[in-house]
Amino acid sequence: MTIYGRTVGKFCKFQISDSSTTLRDIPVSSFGSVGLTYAEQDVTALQDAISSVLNGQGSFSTTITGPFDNSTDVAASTTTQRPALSGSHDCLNGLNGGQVAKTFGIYLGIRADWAAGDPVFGAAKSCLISGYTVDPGAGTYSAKLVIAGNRSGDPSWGTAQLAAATT
Amino acid sequence: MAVGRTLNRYSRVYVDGYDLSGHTRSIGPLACTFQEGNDDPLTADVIGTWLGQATISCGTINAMFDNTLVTGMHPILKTPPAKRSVMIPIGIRAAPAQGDPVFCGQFNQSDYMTDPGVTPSALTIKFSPSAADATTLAYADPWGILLHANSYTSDLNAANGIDLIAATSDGGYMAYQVFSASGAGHTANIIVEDGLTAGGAYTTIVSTGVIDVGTAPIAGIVAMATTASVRQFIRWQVAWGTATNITFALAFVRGKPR
Repeated sequence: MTIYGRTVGKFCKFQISDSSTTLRDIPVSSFGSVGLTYAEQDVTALQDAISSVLNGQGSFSTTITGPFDNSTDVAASTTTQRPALSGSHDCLNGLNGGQVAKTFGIYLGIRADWAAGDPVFGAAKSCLISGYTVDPGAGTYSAKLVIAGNRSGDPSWGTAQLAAATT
Repeated sequence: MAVGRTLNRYSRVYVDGYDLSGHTRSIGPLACTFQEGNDDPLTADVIGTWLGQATISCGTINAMFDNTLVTGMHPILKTPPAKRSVMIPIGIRAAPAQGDPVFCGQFNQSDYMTDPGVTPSALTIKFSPSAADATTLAYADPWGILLHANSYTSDLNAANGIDLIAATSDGGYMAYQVFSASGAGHTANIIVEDGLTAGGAYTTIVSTGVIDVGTAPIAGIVAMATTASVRQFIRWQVAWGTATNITFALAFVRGKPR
């Protein structure tokens, strides 16, 4: 049964398909801002009493950060399960600079581990990793996720688990 | 080799055959970022991105000023600009061991800045992105695995090495740091071997060739062709010439599809 209402960060999780197209839960400590942003085109005429805009194309990119971790890969979690964390290093470094669009999902569990019906932002075969940086002093990584030019679909908000698709 | 999370204190910094870990407080960020170009035709609802060339950088060394003869930071690095062979193994809750992640490349040292007024007197050394004459220009990945941790070796390697899970045909490169050897003029060939199965036959895929390890400290990177095959198992090896022992670290970075 879907829970509605507010939630906290400990119930979110991040999944991405690795270089062998298998979905992995990756340890994350921050996501940046998640969602689509649409360009604002000012179309105001001097004769208007108020300014007005039209929205242009949407865009999305975010930089995730988390602990540097070379743990062995394990199968990703599904609905109602605790995140099953694989190492951040092998997965993200393997994807960094790749030209094949990958499936990703940012899942917001509502006061419990994510379950089907809870919000998720992402899309199948839609993203690339354009940068991967490690700070040994802090024991952390940061990775930039961008929307691929050769994606299969645009990211959006949904409520269903995203499958690894075929990439 | 362990897996999981770790701390700064288990990282090591090797530059041109010198182990600078005893002087260094931190290094980084260790970055590999790709040029981004927009895919935004009129018909697109959402703007996409295409990735171009990578920029790889090992950042800045923060260290303590030390003019100890030969092994101090001052005599080693006081004269930029210079191309440096850098290797940074990341130990996982212990000193780096075979199989641990390692960042490597050849970078231009672009400054050498001291801060005499602090206690103890401090030092920062900035590295620019990959050197123009680096031997890794065909590879957009600085992260590999440590095949031989910094240690003394006088034997052949009969171990099975590292399981890479699968074979690839995207080449790769080896990075080596020789800290010392048995004596002046002594030679050896440091090798990376691959094999189809653990314990099976191993063959050389890339090597230093016969080098005068007696001139250590020495360091370098040797790249394979970008279409070369790398089988599932890899390990370090030494073909001994006149040298009878070497203290060295060796890493291998497997290439990825471009």
